[in-house]
Amino acid sequence: MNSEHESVGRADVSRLLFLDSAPARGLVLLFVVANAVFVVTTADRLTIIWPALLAMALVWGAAVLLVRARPDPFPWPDTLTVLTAPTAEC
Amino acid sequence: MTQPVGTARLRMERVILIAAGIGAIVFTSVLASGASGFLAQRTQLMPWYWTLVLMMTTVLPVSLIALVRWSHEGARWGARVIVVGFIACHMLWVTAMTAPVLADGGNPWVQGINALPSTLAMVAWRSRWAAIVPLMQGPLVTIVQLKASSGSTTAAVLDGIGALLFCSIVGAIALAVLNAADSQDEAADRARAQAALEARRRTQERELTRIDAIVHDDILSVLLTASRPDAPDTLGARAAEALDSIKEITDPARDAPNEYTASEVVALLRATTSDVDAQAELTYELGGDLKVPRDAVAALAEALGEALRNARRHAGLSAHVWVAVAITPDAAVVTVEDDGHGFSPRAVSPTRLGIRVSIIDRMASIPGGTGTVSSSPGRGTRVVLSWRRP
Repeated sequence: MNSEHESVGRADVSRLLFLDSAPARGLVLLFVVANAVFVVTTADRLTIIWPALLAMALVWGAAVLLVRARPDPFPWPDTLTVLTAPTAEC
Repeated sequence: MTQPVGTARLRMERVILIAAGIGAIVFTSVLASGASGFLAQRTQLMPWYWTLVLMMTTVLPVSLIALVRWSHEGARWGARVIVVGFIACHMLWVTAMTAPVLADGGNPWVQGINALPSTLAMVAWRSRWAAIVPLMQGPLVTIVQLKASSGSTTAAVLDGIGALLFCSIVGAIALAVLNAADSQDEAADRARAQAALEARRRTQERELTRIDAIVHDDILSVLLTASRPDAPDTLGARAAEALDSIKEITDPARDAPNEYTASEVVALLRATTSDVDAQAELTYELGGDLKVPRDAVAALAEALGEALRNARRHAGLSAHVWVAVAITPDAAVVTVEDDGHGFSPRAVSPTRLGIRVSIIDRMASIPGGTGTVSSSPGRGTRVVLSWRRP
C-alpha cells in the first residue's frame, strides 16, 4: 500500500501522458530525422543555409524539451521556449 | 462542477470523436479550393468515387458528433467504417482517376485529411495494431502521389515523410490521452476499493463499540446486581432485556441488507458530522417517512465525511461550515456549505481524486444517488448529496 502512495506522489503530467515512454522518444527521433531530411533535401533552394540549420536546431530543442519530465502545469519558461521555437524558425 | 457518470475512458473517447467531427468540417473547408482541393478534382475523378471519398472524409465524420450522443458503441463502429473506408479510398485513388495525372500540379485532396483516420483509429480499436494506420500514411501518400501527380519524386517522398510524422503525432496524442484516461480509471477504482475497505473497518469498529456498551451496560450490570443478596424485584425484567440484547447481537438476520428510517438517517449523519468536524452546524427537516437503503446511507455518510474534511482542509481557518439534511417522502438530500476561500473547479487538477472519487463517484455508485460540487474563488463551496427513491 505504501508503495502505491509513493507512486501516486511522484506522478506528473509527463508521466500521465507517457512522454517518458519508448514510443514517445521514438516519435521525437522521427521528428528530428524528418526535419533533417526536409532541410537537407531543400538546401539547394537556399542561398544561405545557416538560418535553416539554426531553425532546425531550435525545433529539435523544443521537441526534446517537451518529452522531458516536467511538473503540472507545464512551467512558463518551458512553455514560452516551446512556443517561441517555431516562431523563431519562421 | 457536475461530473457526468461514466469512466474517464468513455468521456475521453467521446471528446476525440466529437473533435474528429469538428476537424472534418475544418479540413473540408480548407481543402475546398485550389488545385489540390476537392472541388477542382471533382471532374478528374469518377463521380461515384468522388462522392464516396466525400462521404468518408466529411459526411460520416461529422455525423459522429450526433451519433456519439446517441450510442457510444455505434460511434465507435462508425469510426471503424471511416478508417477502413478512408484507407480503401486512398488506395483506389489512382484507379478512379479520369485523367493520367491531376491538373495544375495538384495532389490528391484526400491526403490533406489523413490525420482524421489516424486519430479515429485509436478510438476504433483498443489495440496497439491501431498504430499501423498512421504509420502506413507515409508509404501510401508517397506511392499514390507518385502515380497521381505530376510533381517530382522528391516532393512525393517529402510529403510522405510529412504525412508519416504528422499522422504519428496526432495518433500518439490520441493514444496518450486515452491511456491517461485508463490510468485515471484504474486509480479511481483503487481509491474506491480503499474507501469501501475503510468504511467497512469503521462500521466494524462502531459495532464493536456498541457490543462493548451492551456487555457493560446490560449484561455486567445485571450479573453484578444478581450477585447481591438484596437483588431488586426489577432484576428479572432487566435480565430479560439483557438476554434480548444478546439475541440481537447473535442474530444472523441483523447482517442482512436493511433500511434506515428518516430519523436513523439523520442520527447517523449527525454522528458523522460530529466525528469529522465538531464545529460544523447541522440542521435537518423531516418531511416524510422515507426508508433509505443501507448502501445509500453509507454513501451519504462517506461522501458527507469527505465533503467536511475538504471544507476543513481548504476553506480556511475562519470559515463556517453548515450541513443541512432534508428528508422528503421520495428523497434524502444533504447539503454541505461553507463561506471559505472556494476554488475554481476548472483549476482542480484531474489527478486530484478526493472530490471525484469520494463524493461524486461515490454517490453515483448507488442507484438514485448523485453528488455535485459547485464553487468559485472567494465565494465558498457547496456540496449537494442526494438519494432519490429509484
